[in-house]
Amino acid sequence: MGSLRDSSDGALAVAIGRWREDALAEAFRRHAGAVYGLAQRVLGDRAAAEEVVQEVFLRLWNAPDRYDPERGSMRAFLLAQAHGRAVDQLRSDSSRRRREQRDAARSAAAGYDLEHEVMDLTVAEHLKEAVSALPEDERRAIELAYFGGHTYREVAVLLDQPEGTVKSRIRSGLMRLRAGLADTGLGSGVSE
Amino acid sequence: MSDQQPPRHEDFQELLGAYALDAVDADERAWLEDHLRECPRCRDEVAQHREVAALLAYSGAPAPADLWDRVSAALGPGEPSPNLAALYPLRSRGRRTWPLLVAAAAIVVVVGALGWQVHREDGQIGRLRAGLGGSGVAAAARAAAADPHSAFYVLTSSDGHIAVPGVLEPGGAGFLLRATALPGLAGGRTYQLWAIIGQQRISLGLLGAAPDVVAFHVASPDVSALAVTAEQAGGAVQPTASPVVAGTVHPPA
Repeated sequence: MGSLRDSSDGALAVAIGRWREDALAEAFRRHAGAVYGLAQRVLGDRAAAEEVVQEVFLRLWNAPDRYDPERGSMRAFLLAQAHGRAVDQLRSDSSRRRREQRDAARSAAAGYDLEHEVMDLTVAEHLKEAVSALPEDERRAIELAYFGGHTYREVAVLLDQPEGTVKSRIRSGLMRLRAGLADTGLGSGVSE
Repeated sequence: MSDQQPPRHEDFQELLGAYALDAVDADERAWLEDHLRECPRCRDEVAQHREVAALLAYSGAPAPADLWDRVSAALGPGEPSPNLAALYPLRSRGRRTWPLLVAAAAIVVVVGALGWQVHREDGQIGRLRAGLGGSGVAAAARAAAADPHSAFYVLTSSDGHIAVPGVLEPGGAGFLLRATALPGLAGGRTYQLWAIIGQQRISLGLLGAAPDVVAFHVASPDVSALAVTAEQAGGAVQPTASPVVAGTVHPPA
């Protein structure tokens, strides 16, 4: 099915709804790396990240109508699901130990920040610009919330800043990033 | 955000960034989701934040090479993955560690006769959907599969050849979506479903010799794994054999 390679997210979702495994395989080809990467980053555990990937694609297979192409890209949809599941796991009691291990591993690794997390060349260049244009406070708040899996209240404690301030900074940082990415042509309808 | 004053639109808006990154508390999330159902503007903003987050998450690195095989195996007949066993350490535990326990309150409903009107070409995959269109159990399984707060899991045999997908809802309602992957049993034997909670194996009920869609209930949020064994007719108070399939689960909050 060569034509699937050129299919839009919406067309792919329709084909998945018709139980075409090749369509799910194409969605996996396009997005599984990102889904895995995010889950691995949040959970710090290969096996747990693989479970999240399995779960996200099983859910897409069994309930493809949860994805609405009008509301955004399939990648953003899948990543939001993966992030939600990963964070659920982090916040459950059984994962506390895992989290401690992860944080220990992380503090041992130097250079943990948004800029180093992004690798793909063309995307990375644009992102790097947008990220580097962020005020430091906004950048750290987003990092800790998104990749650290912390609530904004936890971030406030970690950064020793008021909760309301952190809440605002996460939002304003995301808006600033979006504006910056739009300037470089990456902002809209991205991540096919 | 106090109880005294009704929240203003700005109160919701302020939270949208944190919400999009799953960085709000459970009660705030519920509160905000009520608002999102009625406010297309806020929904749009969340969608935009998630697009930006998706870019941040982009690493350009591929998923592990054998992961698709495992996903595919859970969908229906496909390439088995030799690595599945490593994910599921249950098998390595001796049977003596299964304690003597019966779950009096466990409820299992087995739907064995679903999904007969299935187009040939859809095979086993179509069977799920055909089955899910029908009875109350099947409709409930379908609803659970569509619920964004439910958790999916896969029970697999230690050699990876058998994969049974399932879903677990907040509150403990669970389903095996396609137990047809289990080989049929002869001689009056029956499959039995077990929850692993701490060091305990609790029976969730008998599935019969050829189960299809299975509904069950696990009251404890501490369930860490599910397993299916083949037992003599009437079942067992404790498992008498290693699991046919088993897998870890992460109950949704």
